[in-house]
Amino acid sequence: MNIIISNLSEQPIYEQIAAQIKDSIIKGELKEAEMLPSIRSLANELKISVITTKRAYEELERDGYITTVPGKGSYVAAQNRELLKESRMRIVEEKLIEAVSAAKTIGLTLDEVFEMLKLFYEEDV
Amino acid sequence: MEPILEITNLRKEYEGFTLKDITLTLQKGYIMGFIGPNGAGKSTTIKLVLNLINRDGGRIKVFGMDNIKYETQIKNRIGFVLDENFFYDEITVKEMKNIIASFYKRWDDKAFDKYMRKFELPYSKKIKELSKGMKMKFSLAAALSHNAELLILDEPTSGLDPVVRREFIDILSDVIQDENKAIFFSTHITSDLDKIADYVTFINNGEIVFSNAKDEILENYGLVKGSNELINDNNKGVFIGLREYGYGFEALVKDKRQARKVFGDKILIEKPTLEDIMVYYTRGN
Amino acid sequence: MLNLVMKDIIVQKKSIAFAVLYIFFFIVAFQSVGEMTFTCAITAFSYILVMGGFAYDDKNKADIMLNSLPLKRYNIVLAKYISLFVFMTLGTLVYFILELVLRSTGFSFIKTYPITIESFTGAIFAVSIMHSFCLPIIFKFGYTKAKVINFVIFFAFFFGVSQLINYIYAKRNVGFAGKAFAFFENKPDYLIALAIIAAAALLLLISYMISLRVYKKREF
Repeated sequence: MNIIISNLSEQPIYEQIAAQIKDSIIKGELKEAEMLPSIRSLANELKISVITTKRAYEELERDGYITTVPGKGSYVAAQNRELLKESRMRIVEEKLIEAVSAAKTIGLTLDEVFEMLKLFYEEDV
Repeated sequence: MEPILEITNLRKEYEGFTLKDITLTLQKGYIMGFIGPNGAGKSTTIKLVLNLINRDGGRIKVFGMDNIKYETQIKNRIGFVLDENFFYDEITVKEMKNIIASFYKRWDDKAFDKYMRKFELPYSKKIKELSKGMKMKFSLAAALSHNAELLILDEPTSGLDPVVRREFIDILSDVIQDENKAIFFSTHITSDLDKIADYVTFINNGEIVFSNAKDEILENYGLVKGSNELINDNNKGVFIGLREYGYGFEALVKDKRQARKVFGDKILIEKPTLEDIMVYYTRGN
Repeated sequence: MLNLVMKDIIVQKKSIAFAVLYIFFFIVAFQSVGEMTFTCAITAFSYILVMGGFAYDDKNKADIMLNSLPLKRYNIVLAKYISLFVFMTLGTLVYFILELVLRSTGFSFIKTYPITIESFTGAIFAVSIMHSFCLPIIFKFGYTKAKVINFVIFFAFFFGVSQLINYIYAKRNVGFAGKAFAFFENKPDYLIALAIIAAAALLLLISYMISLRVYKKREF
């Protein structure tokens, strides 16, 4: 898990952390039931206040991404299917947008793009 | 939960300077930065906690106990680093260590040795042969070697170069991993605290200006920059300190959202450092 | 608290070595003083080392460190009074050994005077009086300021007391002095010695209580 904090950004540090962890969870970099670093060790590593990491984790818990067991630590929560599907869809959308704009740059028509899509879909890549 | 350090309405009068209404609370597991310009009352407050001077009013509780009534019990659990070293110049590090160790119930020689090696301090050198940085490291090693739960540091890094200061902060960061410990760190070099402080108390002219979570402070205060024409007598009130230059103004605001409402998009708002806040409060216009 | 006394010794390691030579010097240089060589030597020895302890504390501003340690203020005060006895004992031992050595190795041109009850009692009394006055002043004003005052006391003591003794001796048949002399005249030596030591002890006790009171109020 990589967390890069910008001190100069308008966005509060706890939000940056929460957002980056959410991202990792959605992308599947952090797996279900995987344990997160303790708020203290995270604060120590990033050289920030423990109140900040605590706040980030609280937000993540509130939004259902992690669960905190007192005395043990915080774990990535079981993600519900809807959420996962939604996030996957977002990824598909992003990729398609990428492909479409790349196709347009070299002047492919919609039909040509569609042909390629059909090929790959049926090929069971 | 009972705070590890609780100061209520502390008061101390001197001729020409009065420390008054000092109230602050520190829970264990956190670092509190105690900032303020020179002469603001930081050292006086700490000396009052350590009972080096007598108070004229108020209450100080450490570990839930009155700091005068239970003085020795409390001091056994406090590690201190003061701004000057008050050790005997003429004796060796080892001899000085033995003297200090003899007073603490829970002295841990292994821990001290570990720090000595980490700081690369020589046992056989006389105290007067040590550099300022080494003296401070020795002081810190001693403060960390008797299982102290509260660390009280009075300007421990003044006069030290940035490299040593960074090392010092790193060590404090490691210490606070233990959620049963707390650190009270007074300094006028606020850059040390910008990152790792959990709470910040700002004192000026003997009074507390604010005592809050550092993040809240840095997220709410703002450094406002804009053109001079934007300012008039009506909206000046929102500023804490204002500097007008030939090519624009810079000011500190307590609530940046409010400033945004007053001035709209015409201004640039930046995140302040603790130093900015301290300077603007102290010098104002 | 004994660690505080040890601290005073460790910090002054060099001075102690010199002080030992000092006693030797005293024995040799003050042969004409006679019996009282011991009294003078020991008084000076103790005074120098006790003051030395204060001097180092003052120079290094150790009061601040000591009062930040888990240490009650009475311990700090008491330790100085105890160091007084420690140094006196040390001095006595050194004198005893040096005197013995000089006497038995036949340096007959150096007249040495073994310790007697009189000189020992005199030593205890002199040391007690001097420090009873000096210590509270140091505890109240700090060593540097007290130095001047103590200097004056030191001289007053040396000249004043001998005058006082002459005066009392001259009036020994009259009034209070007369009664006191009559009372002690036929008593055995050891009883007189005991009485003087008891007076010294009382003086030190009062001094300690004053020192404690002023030191407790001190601010650093």
